[in-house]
Amino acid sequence: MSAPTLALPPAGGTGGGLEARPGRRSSTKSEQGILPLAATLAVAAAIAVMGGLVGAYLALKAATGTWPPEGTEFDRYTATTLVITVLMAMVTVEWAAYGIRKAFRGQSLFGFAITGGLGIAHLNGLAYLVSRFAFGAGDSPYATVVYALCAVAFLVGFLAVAAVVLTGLRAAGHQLGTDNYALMRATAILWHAAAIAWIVAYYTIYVTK
Amino acid sequence: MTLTDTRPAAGAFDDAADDARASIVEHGLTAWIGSGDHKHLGLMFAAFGLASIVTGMVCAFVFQLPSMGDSPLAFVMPGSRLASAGTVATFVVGIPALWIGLATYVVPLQVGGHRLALPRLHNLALWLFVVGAGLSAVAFVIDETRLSSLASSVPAAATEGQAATDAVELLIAGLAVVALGTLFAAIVLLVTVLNRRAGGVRLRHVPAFTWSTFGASLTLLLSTPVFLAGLVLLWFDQHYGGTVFASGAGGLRIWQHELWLLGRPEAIVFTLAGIGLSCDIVATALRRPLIGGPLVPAICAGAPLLALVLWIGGTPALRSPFAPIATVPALVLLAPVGLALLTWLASVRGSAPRAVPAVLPFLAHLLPLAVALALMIAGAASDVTGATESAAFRNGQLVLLCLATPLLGLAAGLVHWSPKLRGRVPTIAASGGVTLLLLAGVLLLGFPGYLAGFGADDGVATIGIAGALVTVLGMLALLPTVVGPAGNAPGDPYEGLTLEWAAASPPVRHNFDEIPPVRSPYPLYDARAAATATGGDAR
Repeated sequence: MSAPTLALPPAGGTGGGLEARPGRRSSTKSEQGILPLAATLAVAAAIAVMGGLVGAYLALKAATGTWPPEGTEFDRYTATTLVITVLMAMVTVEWAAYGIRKAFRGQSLFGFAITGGLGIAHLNGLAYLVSRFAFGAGDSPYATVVYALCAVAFLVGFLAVAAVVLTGLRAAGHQLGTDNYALMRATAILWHAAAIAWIVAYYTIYVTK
Repeated sequence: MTLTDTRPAAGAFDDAADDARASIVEHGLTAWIGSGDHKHLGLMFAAFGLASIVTGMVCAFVFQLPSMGDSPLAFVMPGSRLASAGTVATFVVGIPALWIGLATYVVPLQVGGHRLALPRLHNLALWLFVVGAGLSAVAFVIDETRLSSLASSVPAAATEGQAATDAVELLIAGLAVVALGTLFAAIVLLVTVLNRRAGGVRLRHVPAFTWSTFGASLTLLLSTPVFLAGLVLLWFDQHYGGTVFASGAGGLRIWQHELWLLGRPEAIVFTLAGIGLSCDIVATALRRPLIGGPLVPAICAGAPLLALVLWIGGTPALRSPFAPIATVPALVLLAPVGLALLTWLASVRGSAPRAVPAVLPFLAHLLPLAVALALMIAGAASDVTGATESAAFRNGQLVLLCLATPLLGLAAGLVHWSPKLRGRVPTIAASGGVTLLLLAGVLLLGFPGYLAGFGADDGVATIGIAGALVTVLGMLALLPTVVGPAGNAPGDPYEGLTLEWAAASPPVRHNFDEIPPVRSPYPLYDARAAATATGGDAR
């Protein structure tokens, strides 16, 4: 008697049961988990980047007598507004995900549109906030590390907004569905990372100072 | 479209017409450049790693021969851009690329997968390595960069109010691109281990090398972003003429934890990741599973993670692994090595090991570690004041611990899996030749540092250069394991225990036609034992 073997299943053999549309590829349960897992690891990396910068901020703060430098002014109003913006977008991106998962197309697209709008507003506000800084990036160690924190938060936010826009376009093109949900989940995770990045930067610069 | 990562259609494995079509698609240089096949990517990563290390050796030792004098401080010579270029090419690009290449090729085979989890991302990682290395090289060529102290624990190149030169910004960009490539490759390998195992292959069933790949990738995932954060800060500091790294204790601390190339976990992680590779070689040589049960995967996955303890320590007493005294981090790093040695010795008892080709480089890769420890103790006990604290002595430790040990370990891996990589079974003589060249080369490379540390300066530079040349010869002798026409070796020439030996040598495009039942990390051993018990064919 020959030993049992674990032959590979054929492509799409364990895919979802929904009717496939042209240009839409159903995927196995294992493949569905790849993108969210990779996105989660990417988020861990993004948090580690922010951790490295916060560590630098704290190291410089501990080694410097006056921190922040005297005369430094904070635009706390705009910064706090940006925190509220990213928090709202964290909710709306989950709304878009819910719409995809439950096949509520209209709600999903509406969620994408609002998330994308809030994301662009966040990036615009962040650029405005940095442009209003009363110090240059090379003026002091404090200034350098604050600029670096804001730049990384902006970069992560930009990548997340790009992911939201591209995923929204794919959703509009009927390429996402209840059986092909991984990209949506990964996009939502990326957006949460962008929000966390800015919240970490905000807490470091404006709360702990 | 040349990407070759698509899952074969149902029935494709038995269809000769599909094979013929695939061969048309996959031949040619463009197919390799855009390939998502883990075998192509693994070979390209490994070949690039070998080329980078050879380039680094030549830069650090041979090219700067006229300006070297009697200095043995090849890799960490302050202010020398050639030495710094060599350090970047060897430690930041070469060794990581070589290790990623081996893991990219072997891990999917060991977990019964037929492809990587995110092949396009891995392809991007490869080209990020190439582009980043190129940018760094250009930076060192066009100008005397102020970042030549990246290999030094003190940021001597702080700008102090001056704007950065093009070379400085180019080098920062190059290092950031390489770091991104490392990060992407680590993510792909982690997801492959977690999500691309064949059905029935549980995490507890994966072999030792896969566990060490998992641990090393996780370490890189946590430590490389911190390097990226340091580079972002450095760019702002350099571009806008900041004073972060000239600001005393704070700047020094950031430099040592986030930017100093030899003080971060990446400096030692590939040394510790060699434990998993060695476990697989020892088990193959013994033809039976290692004693230790769940302890073996715990050691293999945990050892690379312990590299993170390098971040422990304050300024200015921060110790790198090659710090020549028994610091707490050094002792923590030695613990898994000691446990692995005990496991191997316990497994050898009562069995007759075979002389498989990889045994020689495996044994050789333990020697630099032992020599480094012995010299560490000798240095601490010697009468020469400050011998072990000198830069020369540390350079010797760096070469033996962070270059010699991982290099010989990776050579053992390339020899061990040579039948899978290029379909060739190396002879014992060939393996011995490569081992001899590499071992002699790296020892000659490291000894000048120790000699200078003990006060002997005459002629040490010549010894170092001779060592570099012999090491380069050893690296060139390794090339046939990753480049050249494929041979036709038997699928399992060593009566291997782990899943990769169930594939053809080299593996077919989809790796496995069928996978044997997997109930342990050693499925082929289990199959043989079951066949012997029922009186069937032991193979």
